[in-house]
Amino acid sequence: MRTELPRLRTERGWSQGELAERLKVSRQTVNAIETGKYDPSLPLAFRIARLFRKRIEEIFEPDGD
Amino acid sequence: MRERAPSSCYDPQVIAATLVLAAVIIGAAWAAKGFEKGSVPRIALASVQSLATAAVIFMSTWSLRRLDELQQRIQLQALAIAFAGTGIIVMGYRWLEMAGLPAVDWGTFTWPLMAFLWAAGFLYSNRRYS
Repeated sequence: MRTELPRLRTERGWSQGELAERLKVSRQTVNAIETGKYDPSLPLAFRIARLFRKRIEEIFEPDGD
Repeated sequence: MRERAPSSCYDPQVIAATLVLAAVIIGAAWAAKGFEKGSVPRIALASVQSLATAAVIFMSTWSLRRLDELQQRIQLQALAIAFAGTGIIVMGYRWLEMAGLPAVDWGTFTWPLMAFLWAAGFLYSNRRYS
């Protein structure tokens, strides 16, 4: 899964740790999502989308598309 | 959707409590050697070991529920490796015992083996997502 998360995060000047704190997850989870090693669950994807005021598909895109 | 506070499987309180319970289990086993089988103190000490083991299981479940979704996945993979690995090793060695190798007290060694395989599984799974 490709993600815009690193760009969105850096645009706001947040570290991975700060984003993790806002999402109530570990920094390891944020890092794994950003590097494409882990696809977030739907509830977490919604939390991320809500935090950045975007739709899920504006942040995440399947590799095949 | 319930948000979960970030937690870590390296929570010092969990590690400290686990070490205390492990000390209780080992200490009770050591103390029990001083009493005859079937005596009240020995049965009481065995009960203490059972209760401490139950507490370890309860605490492990509690600490797993506090982890976030990726950490839970890592733990699930580690536990699957430990569960399957222990089964394969115990069953495999049982066949070797029947073929003539020395008998092993699996009642004593199963838990340490499972803990070792869990640690190995955790390191393997954690590395995949680091």
